[in-house]
Amino acid sequence: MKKIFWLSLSVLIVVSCSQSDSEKKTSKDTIQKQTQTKTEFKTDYELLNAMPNPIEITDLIKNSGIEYDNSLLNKSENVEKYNAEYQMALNMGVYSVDLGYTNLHAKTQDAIKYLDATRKMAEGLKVAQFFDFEKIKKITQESKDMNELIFTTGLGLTTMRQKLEEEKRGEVLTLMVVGGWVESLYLATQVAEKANKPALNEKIADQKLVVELILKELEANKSVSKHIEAIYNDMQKIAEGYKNISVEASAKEGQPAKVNMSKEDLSKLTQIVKEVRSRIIS
Amino acid sequence: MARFIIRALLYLVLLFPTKIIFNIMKNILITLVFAFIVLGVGFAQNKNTQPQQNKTDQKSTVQKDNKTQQQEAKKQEEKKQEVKKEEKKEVKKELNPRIENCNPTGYVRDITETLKSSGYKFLRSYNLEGPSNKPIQHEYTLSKGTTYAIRIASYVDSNLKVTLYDPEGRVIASTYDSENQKFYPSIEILCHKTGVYKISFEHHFNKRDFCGGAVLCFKR
Repeated sequence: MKKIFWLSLSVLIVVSCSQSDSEKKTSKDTIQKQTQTKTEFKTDYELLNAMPNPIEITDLIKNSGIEYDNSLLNKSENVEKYNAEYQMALNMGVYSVDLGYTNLHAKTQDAIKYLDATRKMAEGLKVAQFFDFEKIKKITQESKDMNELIFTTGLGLTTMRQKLEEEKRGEVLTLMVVGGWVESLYLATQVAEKANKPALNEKIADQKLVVELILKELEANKSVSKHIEAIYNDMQKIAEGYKNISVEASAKEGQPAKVNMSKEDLSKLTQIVKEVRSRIIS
Repeated sequence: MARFIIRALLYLVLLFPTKIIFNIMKNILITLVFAFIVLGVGFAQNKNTQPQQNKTDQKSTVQKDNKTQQQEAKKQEEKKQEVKKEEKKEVKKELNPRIENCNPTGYVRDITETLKSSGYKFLRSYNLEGPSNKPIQHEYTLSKGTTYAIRIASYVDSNLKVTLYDPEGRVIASTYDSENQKFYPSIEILCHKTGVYKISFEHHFNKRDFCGGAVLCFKR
């Protein structure tokens, strides 16, 4: 009888101990979940989709008659440096703009390099399956119609964006958009410094609206991680560079808008954008 | 059982006088004969009814044949109705393709094919899919001095239209011409003011599910 009593007592103790362990685990899990929900990235997809496609700027650069300069682009060999997801996302944006720039200038060899770099970033981010790299490579190599290449690339990038949205990977998508926009603004300011092109200056000035949209998206997420905070601070610096820049709408339709941007303003902005871009590609 | 009957008879012999026993035995015999007669008649009747039953069986097989014919006819009717239902379903699918086989990316690809030689460059594509109790809306930042086009494609007779609103919320372009009551596949505008514009997709006459695609493109 005594034996049975002690045996049942020991079984009860063991069961209660194991229960307390599992309770501890669940409480740990809830704490982790709470911290995760606290730092969850909130994405405004509508706002991200409202952002202009960087190809509009690169197309304007090409149409301005300014010669192709591949020294402005992020070196394709730099892909090896980007191992963290945030780096890959930012540089996915950078390389896709560089790819657009090379495509618009019909520079086949460079285009293939940047296509490979974009593919590596896409593979790292696990979105490469939504982009038909082989088809694009074939079009590039065969030097077919450039417009077909731009359409196919654009369609692939859009599909990738849509999939990221479906998979609720808002942080990756945001960083991709920011990286692409910074690269396009970098190219525009670098070219505008060398040649005074009113249309390009107006386009650069117009980007004040875009930096406001980006800040709106990042403001709510700056506490998510140090990387997001750093990007937010960089965007604030670019916004600071736009402080004295503005575009006044023309009184009559068809007339050019009045761009309030002095040479000093452009130089200041160019320098800030260069610094931000170098942090992204480093 | 036999022992029990013998014992019962012995008791009867011992207890009752012989006359009474004789009467009882007589009554038992009468009942037995009557029972045999009844059973014999029943057997004879049974024999007589068998051919009748065969006849009724034949009748029932004929009835059964009729029934199977009726059932087959019913089945055929049911089949016809099913075919009609399927045809109706196919019509429904055509009218309401969201249910099955909607492929918005196919529409987008078709549009891009038509745009390749137009001089326009690709900006965004929109997959139009889902219930139509409200319009599908997107925003995009249009730049002053740039010409934009939005081209749409949807299933036949869907009467899908796209409306473009400026940053102040005013309608500046639509694929539906209300004066001539005509639908056009695209709109084209020269942007006069940089800002965030709203692109709204909706069915004009009726509430239908979306299944289509749209492409936003630009040229200088």
